[in-house]
Formats: sequence, C-alpha cells, structure tokens
Amino acid sequence: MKTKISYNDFNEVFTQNGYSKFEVRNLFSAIKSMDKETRAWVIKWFWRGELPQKEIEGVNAKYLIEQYGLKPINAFIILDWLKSDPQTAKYYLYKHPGKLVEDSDNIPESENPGESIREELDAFYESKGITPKEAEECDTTDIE
Amino acid sequence: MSVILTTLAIALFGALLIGSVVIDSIRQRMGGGNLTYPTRDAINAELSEADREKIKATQDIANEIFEGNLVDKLKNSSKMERIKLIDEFANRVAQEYGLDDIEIDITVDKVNSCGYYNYQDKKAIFNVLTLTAEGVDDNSEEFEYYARDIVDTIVHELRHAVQRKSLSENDFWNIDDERKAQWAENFDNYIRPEINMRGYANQPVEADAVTFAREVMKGVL
Repeated sequence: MKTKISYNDFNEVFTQNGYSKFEVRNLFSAIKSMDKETRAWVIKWFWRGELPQKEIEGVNAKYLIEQYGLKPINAFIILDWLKSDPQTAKYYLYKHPGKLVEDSDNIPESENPGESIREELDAFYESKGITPKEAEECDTTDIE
Repeated sequence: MSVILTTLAIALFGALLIGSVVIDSIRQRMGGGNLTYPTRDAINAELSEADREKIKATQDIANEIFEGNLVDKLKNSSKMERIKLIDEFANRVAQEYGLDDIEIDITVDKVNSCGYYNYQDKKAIFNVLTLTAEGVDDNSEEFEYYARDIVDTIVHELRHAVQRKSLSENDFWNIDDERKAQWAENFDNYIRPEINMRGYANQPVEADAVTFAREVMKGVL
C-alpha cells in the first residue's frame, strides 16, 4: 500500500474535482500540519477510499461526511482540530453546520469576497500604491 | 420594513425545524452546552480604540433592546416580536457602525445558516428560524444557545461590512492602512469554510470578526 501522497498526485485529483490552485495548495499545507495519526487517515482515504472508525469528541469521519455534509479533507481537518483544540473546533462546527445532505443542491456555497469586490480591491491597491501579494507557495514535499 | 415582516409572518407559519436538525444532532453528539468562544490563544485579532468604542456602543444597544436579559426577553416574546427585536437590533447596530448603504434582511429559512454578508450586493441576511420554528422549546439549552448565536452572528457579519467599507472610505473607523492591506489581501485569497474550516477560521478577516463579536458578547447580558 502507498504510504505517501506526492503534490503532483494530490494536485491532479483535486484539480479534477474542481478545486482552484490556491485551494489545492492550501489543503496540501493543511494536511502536512496535521498530527501523524490524521495524516495516516488521509493517506489511507486518498489511495483506498477507507475512512477511520475512531471517534473524536463524539464524531468520526463517516458521520462528518455522510451526515454532516463535509467534504472528506475538511472532515479530516476538523477531526485533527478536535484533537488539538476541541473548544475552538466545536465553535466553528456549530456555527457553520455542513449542508443538509438531502437538500445540498439548493444551498449555495459561500462566496469568495475577492471576486465580488474586485474593482474595490483594485482601487484600494492603486490608491495605496500596493502590489497585491501572490498566495504563498507551499512546501510540496510528499505527505507521509 | 412592513413588507419584509409580512413575508416573514407568512414564512413563519410554514417554517419547519429542518434547519436545526443537523446542528442539534451534532451539538448533542458533542455534549451540547452554551455558546463557547475560541480562547484568545486560539483566535485573536488586534482591536483599535475606535473598535473598543463601538463594542461598548453595541453592548448598550443590545442591553437596551433586550432589556438587560437577551435570553429571557426573547423567551418571553411571541415569534413575531422576536423577529422585530432581532430586526431592530441589526438595524440599530448597522446605523451605529455607519453602514447606511447596506441592506438588512431578516429571514426564516430552512437553509442551515444563521446569517451571512453578501459582499457583492451589500446585503446582510440573518436567519431566525432557530428562534421561531414550530417545535422550538423556549426553555431548552438549545434556545439559549441560539438566542446568543443570532446576536453574535449579526455583530460578526456587520463587522465584515465594516471591513469592506474601510477599503473604499479612507477615514472610516480610523482603521490603519496596514490592517486594511491585510484584509484586502485576505479577500483576494479567501479560504471558504466548506474547503478548509480551520484555515477559514484563522484568516485575518474572520479572526477579526470573531474577536470583535466575542468582545461584544462579553457585555451582552
């Protein structure tokens, strides 16, 4: 069984699934900062589609994905967060409940403010003489 | 206003408890409890003197409208009165923040969100389903959670409106250029909660809104 995920493999799968370059890099970095156990869950899911049974604070990956409507990587991020800082993770989990799975087609995804206020942002940068920063490159060594 | 409230009244009677089923279920699974904020160690943004003044003003508005006891005031009000109180609070706070160019919409919607700010349309939408749906138990711990949650959400989302307005109006809230630049760059590289919840929480505009609302809620009785 493969025990690593390269950036190229990750990028290919997530780009095909509609994630932007920025989102792919952001998620790759997020996985690399997880604890070893959660990273191992991600690797197993990525190559074999298997989900861990282990519950953290009363929930497991299957529940977060199938009942709560989170995307798998986001579910792993939440589980890792619940292990390290349950109070903060719960605050956000309660505030941003996943989509009702049976009704998910009717619920719009949250908007990206940068796209919505493009002209305003450009005017701001110009008035302040700022060149907007590109999103930072991420460490593309393998996830293991 | 009257049109909105009439629409709400119609929607209210048709509203189901669907929207809170999932969140109630996960809250029950995870032990329930009151609205508990991330600690300052976990999520924190620097607040200015102008921010502190607005925080105090917001607390004063809340304590006036909800008569010094948010949960009891909502609990002892009819469903239509609850909507009117929430509407009054949101509009008063928007006025206090100088957000005279945004639209506020109070809705009863089964969509599983307590509220959001639409940057494009300059519209803040707040969902009072959890306080008004048929079957809501006014004496439950859940009701107490949702009563504080809706007020917290209003402050949080209106803070996003402040962030946006500060980019186009130089002297608005005396927010320094460094912070505005940080917000602008964050808007350009925004992490959505459905992609990475933890990354979403830690980005500057969200940490700022959570910090601001957390400070307000400390003084909402």
